[in-house]
Amino acid sequence: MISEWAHLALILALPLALMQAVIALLPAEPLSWTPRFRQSVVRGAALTSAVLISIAFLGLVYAFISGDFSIKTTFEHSHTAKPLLYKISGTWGNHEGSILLWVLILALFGGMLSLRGGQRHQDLQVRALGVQALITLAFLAFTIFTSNPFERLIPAPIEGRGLNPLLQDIGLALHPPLLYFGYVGFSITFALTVAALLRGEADQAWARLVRPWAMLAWTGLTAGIALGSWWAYYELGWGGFWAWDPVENLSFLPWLTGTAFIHSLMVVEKSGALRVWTLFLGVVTFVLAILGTFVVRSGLLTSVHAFAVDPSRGVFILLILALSVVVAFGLFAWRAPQFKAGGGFAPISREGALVLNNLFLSTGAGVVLLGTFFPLITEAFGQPLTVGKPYFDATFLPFMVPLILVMAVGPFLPWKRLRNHPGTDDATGKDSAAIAATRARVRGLLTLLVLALALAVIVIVLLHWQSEPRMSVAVALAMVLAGWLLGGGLLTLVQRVRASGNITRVSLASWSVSLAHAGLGIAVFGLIAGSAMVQERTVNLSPGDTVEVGHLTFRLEGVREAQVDPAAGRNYIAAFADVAVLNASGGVDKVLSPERRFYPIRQDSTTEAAIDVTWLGDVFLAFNAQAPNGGYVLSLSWRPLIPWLYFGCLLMVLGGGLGALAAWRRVGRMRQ
Amino acid sequence: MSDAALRLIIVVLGVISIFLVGSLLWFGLNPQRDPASFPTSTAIEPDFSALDLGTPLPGFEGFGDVNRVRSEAAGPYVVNFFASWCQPCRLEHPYLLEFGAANPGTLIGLAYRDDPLNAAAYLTSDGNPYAAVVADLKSLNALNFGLTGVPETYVFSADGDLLFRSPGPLVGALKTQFINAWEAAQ
Amino acid sequence: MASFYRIVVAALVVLATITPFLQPASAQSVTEIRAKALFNELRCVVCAGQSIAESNAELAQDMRAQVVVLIEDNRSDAEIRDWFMTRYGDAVLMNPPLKPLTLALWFGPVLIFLMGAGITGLVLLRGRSRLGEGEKNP
Repeated sequence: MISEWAHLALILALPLALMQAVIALLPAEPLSWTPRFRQSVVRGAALTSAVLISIAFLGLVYAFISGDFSIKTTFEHSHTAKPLLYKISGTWGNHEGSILLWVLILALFGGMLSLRGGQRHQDLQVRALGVQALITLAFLAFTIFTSNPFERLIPAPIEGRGLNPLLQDIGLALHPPLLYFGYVGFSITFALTVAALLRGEADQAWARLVRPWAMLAWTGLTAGIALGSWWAYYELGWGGFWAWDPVENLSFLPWLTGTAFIHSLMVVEKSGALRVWTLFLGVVTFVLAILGTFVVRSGLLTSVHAFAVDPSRGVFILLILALSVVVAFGLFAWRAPQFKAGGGFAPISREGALVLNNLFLSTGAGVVLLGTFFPLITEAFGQPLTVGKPYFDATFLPFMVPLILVMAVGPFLPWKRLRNHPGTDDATGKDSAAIAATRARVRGLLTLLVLALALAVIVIVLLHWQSEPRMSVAVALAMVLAGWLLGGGLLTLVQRVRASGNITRVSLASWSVSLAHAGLGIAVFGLIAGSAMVQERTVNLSPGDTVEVGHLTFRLEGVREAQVDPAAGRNYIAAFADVAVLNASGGVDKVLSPERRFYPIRQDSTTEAAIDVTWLGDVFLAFNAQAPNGGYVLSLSWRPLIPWLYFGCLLMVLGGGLGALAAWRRVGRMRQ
Repeated sequence: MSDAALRLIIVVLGVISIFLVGSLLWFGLNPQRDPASFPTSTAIEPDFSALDLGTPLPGFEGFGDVNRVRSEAAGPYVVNFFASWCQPCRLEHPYLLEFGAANPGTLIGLAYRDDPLNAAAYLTSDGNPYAAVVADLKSLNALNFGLTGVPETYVFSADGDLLFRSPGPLVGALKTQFINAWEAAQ
Repeated sequence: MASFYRIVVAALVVLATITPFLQPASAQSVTEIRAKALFNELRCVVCAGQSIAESNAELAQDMRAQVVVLIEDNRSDAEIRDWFMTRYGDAVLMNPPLKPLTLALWFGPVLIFLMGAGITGLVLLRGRSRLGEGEKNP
């Protein structure tokens, strides 16, 4: 019964979204709608559809929890012998449910926009809600007509088929909702951008209004990507955290343009420059998010992250994609030439640094887009080939080096211009002032350089002391680069504390930029060490054998098995390899137990790595297979600074959240 | 440049690129297309030198000389990779028996990642279609032929040129293509 | 200028500290290092776009073993890549070979960057010229 109501709510949301779009976007004059009437109807409709779709989603969650296998989605992806958490997260562990989650987040964002639009931007808000309703309409139609999660099975089966074991994990519970939060969050900035294009006006107030939404979406996307990487790292069993897989790339593309977008919005808000470019980014970011959904749902490109795919569904999303591209870019082409250029700025200024940031980020996005789709292009010409990790490492990373160089310096540069000379009327005074300014600048850069070197040395010495890893000059230079970025973030904070005199008086926005930049610096340390300094061996061991990997010595103590035990929440058969980590004197430091799981319901097995997290790195053990000769194949590795990677991402997310809060408050202040 | 000209350029470029990208994505949606499969090609050049290194199957020692079959045939010949553990191989096995009987001295069998005892037992129970059959114990032949899975079947001309390869069992469309390739090779 | 020199000296001291740590440890043999690099450049032909370094599929194990055999046979990295390419075609390389078809792939990034850099240069120049205007009429 509950699922009937939920289904009804979902269907009702469709005409509601249509009405919302029509009332918001039709020209007002011939219908003599007052702006007030229009605003209240549109806001009400946005709120109502958020409520309706929430009901639909909760109804599906209830069907998963209660085990209502008369619903096809539930039957195919759930099972009564499954822990509660995975029953809930299983709701979005399948195509239908995950598309419903996408629509839910879309509607919730629409509801939020209807609550926080501002009286001063009534027209902008109404039109943005209209665009939002169009997007909701398209994806609701997609849900109901091609992927209805409430489709019935007659007769109803007694038991479900169970969830893909790889997905029975806390990673699934968190990664898709956060990723969608990011993807769909950019639908609001898209809607506000299209609304601005419709009105032919994108002023500083517009940028200020868009920023909190952009920051919020960016934060969600960052968290979603980081969680996905972490999930792959511990679940896929070979310790990789980023493989330049098409599905990974497609989530990274909107992140790159979205990052460029939140930075260029700052320029628009400050001086009105870069308006056209910022509008372009606003459109492109969400289009890339839809492209990602399209590729993932249609299975267009080869990926390890396999999804249930269906080309006919792909056609529908391709249609949505084509419509949004044609409408948004058509509008952009029509309106862009009439936007006047904003205020000026010197090449060496905050604006200048942000322009460079945009150059490198967009180039990076272009490179990733090219590499990801190139195999499809050559395949169309009958010459299939592979574009893999080495290509992306070689072509993408070089553009990140200058980005990082600029990134650390940017926050120190003043807006508009660098030269600030007091004694212009006096020739000698001007000279000495200019020299003093130059000297201060050079000293600042040198301080940053020394800080970068010092941070790199500290990290290198720590790693060396821990494990004497292999290290090349290139890796050491990359470490200095990471130190430069971390140092820049730290110095930004120091400078702001000095300027305000007290750490409690540092603004949220300053905390945001310091945390995000320093966080990326820490993550880059982890990225470098975790990919270039890994020590790994795959060996065939019998119980009692010892093996050395880098500074670590392991001994296989034995292998034990555990049977299915629903009471303990175990719906699989497990084989544990107990591996002792030995200390210098040969004693056992600790025992780690990598695991292989066999899920009888799905006839499928997974590898659960055992990871010992220390602050300098992970001991990462995976139980690959049972060898034919009776031994056990284990992959044993030391992965330095991996925890830094995820700690850095956490700081970035924190920085993004604070930035969103700061931007939110500025909108509030503006309204008063 | 006037606004109108600029708009025209943007619109023309936009329409062209949307058309190109759209048709590319449309191509990608072709249901016949399997992006996960490795693109096999007949432009590869297998190296036959490793055929000598095959291990004869116990009880099938008389079938161990693969190269003798190649020279005796002096016409087109077929190489088929199989394994006793491979379920899809059983689908094509009846057809292989039929083909081997109709074209004696042309079918070479290579057991991929299979215990010679198991492979021999499989051929004893299900019948041996091969004129020559060995176990490819170190997978050297598999790599030499650019194998992407079992079963996989290769049709060679008398000169050793690869004419056709079937990346799956010889049933349905692949079987028809195989028959056509074999007839064309005569 | 004194603080200037102090900073330079500090930088030199720091560099001197770092140098002793840069010698590669000799724990791994040349074969192991070369094999590892080649594993990352060859695609596992039964996997979804993974390299043979990342896969435990049987064919990936075979390919890894063959790489080691070829290294021990004194073949160069290029010869080993060729060995696989003649047998599996271009798609076996994670890094596509440079040929007319892949020109756009390999030079595309540079072109994208140059286009972007051109636009950026224009934006910066225009920004500077407008800054002059703004100062004239505040």
